[in-house]
Amino acid sequence: MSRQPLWLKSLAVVGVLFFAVPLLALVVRVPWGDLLEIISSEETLSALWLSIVASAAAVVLSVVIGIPLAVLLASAEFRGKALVRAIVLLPLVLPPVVGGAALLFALGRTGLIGEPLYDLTGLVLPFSIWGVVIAVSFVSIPFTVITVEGALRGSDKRFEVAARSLGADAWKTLRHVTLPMVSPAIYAGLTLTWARAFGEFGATVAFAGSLAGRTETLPLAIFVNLQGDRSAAIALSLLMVVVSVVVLVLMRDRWLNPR
Amino acid sequence: MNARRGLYVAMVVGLLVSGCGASQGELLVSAAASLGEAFEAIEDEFERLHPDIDVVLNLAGSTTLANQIVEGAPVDVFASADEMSVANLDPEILHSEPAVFATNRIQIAMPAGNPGEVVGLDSLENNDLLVGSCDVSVPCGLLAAQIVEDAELQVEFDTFEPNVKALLTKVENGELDAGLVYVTDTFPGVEIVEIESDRTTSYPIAAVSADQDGTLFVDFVLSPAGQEILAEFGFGTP
Repeated sequence: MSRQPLWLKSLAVVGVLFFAVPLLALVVRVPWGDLLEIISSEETLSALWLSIVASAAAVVLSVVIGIPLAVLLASAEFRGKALVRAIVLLPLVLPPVVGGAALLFALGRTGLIGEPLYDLTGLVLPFSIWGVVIAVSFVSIPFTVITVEGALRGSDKRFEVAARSLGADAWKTLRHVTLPMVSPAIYAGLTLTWARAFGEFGATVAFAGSLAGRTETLPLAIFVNLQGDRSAAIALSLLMVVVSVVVLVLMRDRWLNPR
Repeated sequence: MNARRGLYVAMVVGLLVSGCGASQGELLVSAAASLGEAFEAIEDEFERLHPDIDVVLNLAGSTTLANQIVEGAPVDVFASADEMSVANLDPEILHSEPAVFATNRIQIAMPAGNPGEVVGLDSLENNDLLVGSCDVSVPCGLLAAQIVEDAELQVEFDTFEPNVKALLTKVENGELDAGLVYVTDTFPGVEIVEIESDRTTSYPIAAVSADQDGTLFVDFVLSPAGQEILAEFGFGTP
């Protein structure tokens, strides 16, 4: 640390302040007297629970579909690969509200897939917890894909070749050689996915709507309160910050520094 | 080398200075989102009458706009969609006494073809329908809640949208069978049922800064010419 030039340290300090000052300004405004009452209210607890469930579901979906996608993009050669990658990573740059609207056109009751689904099963995805899970997954899974794909591209292919030459089949090689090599990137990607899903607002409100106890996640509750009871919004924001910091620190200790 | 560095500094300082402060003749009008289209028409007419004044509209939810004013935004005029947002402001912040310039009512909007067969407020008690409202933290949601309460109906809403445009989009796409929206909010392709209710929401306007042009704008909105434009967009007269 002390070997770094002074100008670099100064710029880094500016970087820290850039992120720390707004957070500090938020904490200064926290209504400490009413904090417990606001945070322990039924609406807050159900919003917190919904955010935890939906973001956990996004992490599970990232493992199930995000990692296979990353492996394919990193190792397979096929036509239109650049286009596939662009489509998959699009939610990273798309305004979340646009993503939510696109989901509505696809999976809503009158949507491309949503309409036949509704006619066949009577299932309506928007305005339900499924809508929340889909919305937060849509915007957050790309973080796992991009992180894992990058690590796979940088990993040493000779280990895989050696494993195959020693008789391991493709699945065994993937399971015991390829993925363990990039496990820090997998954990980092899943952590990013979780964090993005936990704080998701735009796609959720556009696709799943907002109903306390059903589709109102913590960020939605914060937004609604920001229009009305601002001290409640600030208290909820503090709750989000605390939960996020605890999870991020725990994940770092557990996963990024494996013993 | 030093001369060049001095030039850079001068350029940066110049940029900072020119970026600060409202430019001459610019009038910042904060207006509730539901006033958007009507105020664009008012802006056009006002600027035609006063070519030296450039009206800049800042559209958002009334509570957001009020918060911006409290936090020191350089606003000249505030046109709110509810009286609460103005009443909650410290009177010292405002330059003029708030005056009501328009009213609005709630109606039921349904997607084309009216798949939920909604014929009135009573229809919304059917739990098989997907029904939406604005959130009670915004004026249209508060008004809708009062109307449902007045009618002594048990409506199970499926979503409380953050603003009326978001609600209307979901109705227009057929994701909701019905939504309680303002009478001023209409989309081609949306069907409408009127609601019998005396409940209205009032829109107050006030000059915030001491800028003379702000007072001029407020007077224009309250004048017969301004009122005529508002009526064209479906607003009621106070």
